[in-house]
Amino acid sequence: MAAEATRRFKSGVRFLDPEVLARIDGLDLLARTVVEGFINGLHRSPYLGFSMDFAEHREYMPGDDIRRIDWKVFARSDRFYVKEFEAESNANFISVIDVSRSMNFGSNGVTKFDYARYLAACLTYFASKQRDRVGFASFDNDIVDYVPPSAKHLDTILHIIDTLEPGGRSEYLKPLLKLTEAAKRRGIVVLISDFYEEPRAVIDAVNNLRYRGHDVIVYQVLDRAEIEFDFDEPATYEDLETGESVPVVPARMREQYKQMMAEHLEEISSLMIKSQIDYGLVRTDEPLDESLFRYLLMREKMGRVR
Amino acid sequence: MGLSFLAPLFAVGLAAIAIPILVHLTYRQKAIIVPFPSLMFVQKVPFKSMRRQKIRHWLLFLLRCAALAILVLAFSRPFFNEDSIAATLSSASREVVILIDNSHSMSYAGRWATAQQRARDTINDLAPSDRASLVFFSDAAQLAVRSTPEPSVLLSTLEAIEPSGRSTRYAPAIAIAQQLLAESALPAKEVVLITDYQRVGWDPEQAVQLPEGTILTGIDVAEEAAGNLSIATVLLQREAADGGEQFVVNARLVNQGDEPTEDIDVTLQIGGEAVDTRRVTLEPNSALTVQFRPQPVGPDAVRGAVLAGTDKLPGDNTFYFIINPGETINVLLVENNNAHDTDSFFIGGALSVGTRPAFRLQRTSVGQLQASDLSGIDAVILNDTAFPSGAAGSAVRNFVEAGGGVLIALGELVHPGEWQGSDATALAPRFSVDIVDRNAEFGGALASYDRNHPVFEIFSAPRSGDFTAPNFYRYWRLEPGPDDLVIAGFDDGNPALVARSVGSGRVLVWPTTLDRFWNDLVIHGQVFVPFIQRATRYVAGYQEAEAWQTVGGSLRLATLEEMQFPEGTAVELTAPDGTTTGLVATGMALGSADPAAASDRIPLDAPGFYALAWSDDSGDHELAVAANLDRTESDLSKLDQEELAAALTYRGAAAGGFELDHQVTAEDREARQSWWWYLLVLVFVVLAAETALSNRLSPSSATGTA
Repeated sequence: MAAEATRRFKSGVRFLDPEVLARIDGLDLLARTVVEGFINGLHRSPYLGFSMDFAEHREYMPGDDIRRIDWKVFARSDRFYVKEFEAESNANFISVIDVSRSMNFGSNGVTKFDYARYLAACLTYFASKQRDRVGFASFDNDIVDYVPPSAKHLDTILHIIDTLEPGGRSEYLKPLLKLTEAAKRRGIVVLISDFYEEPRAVIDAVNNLRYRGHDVIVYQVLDRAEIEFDFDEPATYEDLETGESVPVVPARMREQYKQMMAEHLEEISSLMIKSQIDYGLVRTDEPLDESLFRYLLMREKMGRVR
Repeated sequence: MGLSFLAPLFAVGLAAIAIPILVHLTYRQKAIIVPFPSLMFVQKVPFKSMRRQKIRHWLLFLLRCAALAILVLAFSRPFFNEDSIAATLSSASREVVILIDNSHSMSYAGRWATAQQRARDTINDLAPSDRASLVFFSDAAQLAVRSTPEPSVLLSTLEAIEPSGRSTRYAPAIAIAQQLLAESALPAKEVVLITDYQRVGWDPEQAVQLPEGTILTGIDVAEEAAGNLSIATVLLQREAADGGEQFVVNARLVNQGDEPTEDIDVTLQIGGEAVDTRRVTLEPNSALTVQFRPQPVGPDAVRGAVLAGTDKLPGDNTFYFIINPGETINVLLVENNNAHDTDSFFIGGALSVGTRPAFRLQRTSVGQLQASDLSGIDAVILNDTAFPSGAAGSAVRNFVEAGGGVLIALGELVHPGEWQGSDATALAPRFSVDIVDRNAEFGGALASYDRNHPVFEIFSAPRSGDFTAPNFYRYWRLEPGPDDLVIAGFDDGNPALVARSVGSGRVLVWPTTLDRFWNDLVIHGQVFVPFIQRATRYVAGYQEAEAWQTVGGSLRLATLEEMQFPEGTAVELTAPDGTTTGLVATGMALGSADPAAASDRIPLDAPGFYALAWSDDSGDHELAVAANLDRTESDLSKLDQEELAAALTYRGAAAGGFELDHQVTAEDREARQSWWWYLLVLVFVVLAAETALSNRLSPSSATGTA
């Protein structure tokens, strides 16, 4: 299985293989390993160095992003100025993990729950490195843990993520509403879940965060076996969350299952896009750097526009 | 068959095959519980029961039977005589399709020479009654020789082919083989696939399969551990500099090998001269980005390249690009006769920033507009004015029909009656005399816009600009025609932006002002500036010049602004290898003297620079285009041969089969009589495979630890 996963990796990113990361003891070391390696790979790329907080105006120069022009200043002075941003940013960043029992599934040695933990730890570390205030929340059918954003909470969050245990059934509306109430200051919210729920219900829940003004990035984490349903043996399948069981002959229902899963993913994706939510499907056999890249791109866009 | 046995009594042992049959038929499924994240979809699939009394795991069953049968066969001491072989061959004439991968990865080290040699061997092994076809494939398949009994034709064609610069795709080749075999009347059908088995070439979603009974012989010419250093992509970042513009080149390097690549010189070339070099070391299976010193953007397009050492696949160690100078769109702003200087203040401001492209703005009033004013203009903005009357109006219509564009903003100085002439209605949809007034509601909003349209695609990303924030207090009620495209709408359902194609040109109609009288869009600079610029670019038909294209694609002349060749212009095309071709312009197409052969596309078959050179009254001109190899081809990771074979021969597996590197050779009599020894080895191999398969088919390895 490891060899099969390796083959799917894109060019030269095997150093972030989730199965390798699973052998690293301690989330702080893991996050540092991944993020530092990732940044070294970027090597002073233009993605680094963006920021959000307004500092001063400077005169427009050809090549500047036209969306940074302060139009009100132009209207008053007939001259173009762009908004300069400080190198340091202190936006609020909150990672939110689904810790329901359905996340505790993995066919390749890394469960979705593990992958979500790695991803949350890396993004939190990354955000902290960018001098953002970092916060954390976990939920199943209610908020399980909540750490409010602070510049000093990195170690606390990594410790909590390290000690998380999956349990409970997932629900989205109630915990995300609570989170919306708790996180009043606008910031970046990264939501990581497998989203076994009707897409409309998911988007209604996530939109609460959007309406509060948060920039939301959604990662849907799934295992390869959940997408491709490539089981062979007829068996009794037991729902990890409800405990229900049904007899299943995989070969006979594979195509229908895959089609339903593809439609589900497509609907979630299109609803997220319509709501201007940055959405990405990640598989647990994919390296983490693609997810980090998505976050970087999102962050860079925000830096450009504000 | 001519098969004889020295000890035929051992054949009685074949009765032992009954054992695996009984085992498979009497095997009962143990109670297996598979934890699964959610039965949300599983429960929606109608339940289907399974019959227990049947043979499942056919492959396992056949392996067990085969092991017993081969064992019995070995003890029976089989042997062939030459007459029987000859008789067998002559009685089963074969239709053989030889598929040879000539994608770029086949130029890796000695792969191509090996592939050619194996193809020669295959051709030389053909019997006189066989027929064979030769197909070369990369991202497309080319039938080089259609079913022939002549080995000489096949061999001469084989020698003339070289690896291409294209990527690998198996499906087109398999589709051709499928067709050739389906057309053949010969009893035995065989496909010989000679390739390096690149994984990127196989898409399991593409349902191509060989006809039932076809034997697929796979010949793998790739080494086990193939490393490759490549430049995955280049990012060209333009930025302001003192007195002009500069660009920074970032090259992303990838080392796909188990060995580090140490002290590689990565060089940036501009105009053929090395201008910066960085020395880097890449760890095994890693990537890094190399950033070079900024370089100035000149007044002309320049050729650039990044070179990173060399290895066994040198094609992807170079990345070519073109740095284009800033481009200019000429805009004529037409205002009302009584317009104030400030009426187009925001439009002028929005179009005076930016260099890619830059906008050169000229102004006039509708009363002074003349046909000659439109000369050299790319886009016209009719800003809150009557439609030009008489000859000027016809000139604007002709301008659009010939490929120009108009952006029309309808505001408080417009009277519907001035827009009802034939020229005006050809360009703009009708609008009613009633102005929609939303002042009582504190303004309406733009509720929807097509983020896939070129005008709005810049706003498609999250946080890229909120178009729903501006308030619209008044606007005209547009009545779009059936061919008009409404690309934005207000929250009361009225159209906010309507696009119309007229002849070769484009028109956009915006039913409200582009100043602060009827809306406050202009104070939302974050959306107003890109909106005005994108709308103007759209009507002007502007397309950004690409820094490079991919080999396998083509250069479409109609998309290039420079390609306005007068009929009959002599154009010289220079390919990356330096060969030149004389072409003649035929309208927008180029071709030889035969007009039917003219094409408006130039295929890009090799990496490097393609250059078009021509002369006209204004002097000599050259246009260069950079082409790079498809970088998916740099990923040399291999596809499992059996996985591919299983996908291609699934339906025909019972009658056909798959052989790895199959070759027929003559053996002497003594060797043929000692086959029993090889058969015993085969028994061990089959039993080993049976063990592996049996373990794999044991209950699922998926884990859920609830």
